[in-house]
Amino acid sequence: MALYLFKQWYDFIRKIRPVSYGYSFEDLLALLHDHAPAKVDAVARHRRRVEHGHLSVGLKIHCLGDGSQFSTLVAGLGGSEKILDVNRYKHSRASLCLVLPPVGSARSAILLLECIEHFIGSALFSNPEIQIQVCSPGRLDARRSALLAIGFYLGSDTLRRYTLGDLATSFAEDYYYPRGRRLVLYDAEGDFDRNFDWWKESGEDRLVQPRLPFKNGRSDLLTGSGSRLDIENINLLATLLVHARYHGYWNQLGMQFQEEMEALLEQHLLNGLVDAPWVRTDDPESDDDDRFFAALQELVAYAFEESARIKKEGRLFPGWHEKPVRSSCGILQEVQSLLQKYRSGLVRQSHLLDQGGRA
Amino acid sequence: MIRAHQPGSEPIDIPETIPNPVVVPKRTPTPTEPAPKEPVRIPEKVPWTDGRGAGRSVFSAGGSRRG
Repeated sequence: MALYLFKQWYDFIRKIRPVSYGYSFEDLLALLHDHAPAKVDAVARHRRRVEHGHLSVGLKIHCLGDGSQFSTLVAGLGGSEKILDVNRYKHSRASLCLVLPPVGSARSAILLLECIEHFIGSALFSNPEIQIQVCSPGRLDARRSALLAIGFYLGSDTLRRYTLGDLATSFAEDYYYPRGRRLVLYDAEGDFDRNFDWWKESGEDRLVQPRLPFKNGRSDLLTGSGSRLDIENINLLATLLVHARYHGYWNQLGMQFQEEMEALLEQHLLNGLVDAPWVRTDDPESDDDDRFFAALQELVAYAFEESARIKKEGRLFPGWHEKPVRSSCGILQEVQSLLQKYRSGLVRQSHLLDQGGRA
Repeated sequence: MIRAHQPGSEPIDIPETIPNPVVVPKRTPTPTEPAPKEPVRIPEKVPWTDGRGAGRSVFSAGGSRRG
């Protein structure tokens, strides 16, 4: 009787608390190894290696096609029931959502996706049938979630138009974890792997802790048809913003980035966009898909117009990437410069730390 | 592709995605997979000749001179 009750309870919990994946990372790598031995070995070696204090990276692959290219992979990992059915979260138009175990860096995440591409024999990057969701540990507040989404959109190598339906998932109207139709989505308190280094600020020094400071909580970004650059950019943006939010080592750099990004938006009269509900939080006022979508559409229109202007001019101003951020080269160029500035600044400071100097 | 149409005008197709014109494509170096292994070929033994006698091997008796 006790066993029966336990099973009933367990099934109930599984129904309301999603389980991410039902296989081990080692099983996945063993399966992929024959198809891409060098890359799989590189992923295995560096799986938990955190680079320059960036956040770890999780990935979800939503397949909008029939998903037949994944059938061998899913079968090899233990079958659909064990791998896919345990996770009731997916894009509303997806036939399946494959959740990958988190890795220590954007580089490892990209390599892992390339290994899977070798195995399934079709593209995952920039494939309209594949939607990549990039998961970052730590929940960002509403304002920083807006900056994550806007930074991702303007920094991507593809400018996209959306319909609200493009952002619908099985949790859009969920009773327990309503996430709405957004680019940025909080987790649903499922599995969470904390075993990645976290660079903590300790006075002016860096303290490397072996575990993330969050027991739970993620900020995910639904990239749509995503690229390698998208994964790198989201990892950089999330690192800066999460460190600013949770007083990590990159706290000051993150705050500075936030200020510069907001100033940049203000310069283009887009600062009001940040007030829209880019993520659905516990705040009942954030439950407004239409208000979010209006802000997104304004951003999209601005970016497309800017793109048309650049094309009309014929070619880019030579050396635009070396000009200061606020020289008004257009918002797309300015965001590229901003991302480049913070990417190289973070790595430079990290190298200084490694050399024993104070960053 | 999104089709926009106003009465009295030709419908136009609006692309859903376009490349960001300011992004310079770059390839990050990633491990390359080794080419499929080919069987190791051991060269066949070929008799060495010094030009004075067909089939004369350096390893054969009297094949080397000493000052």
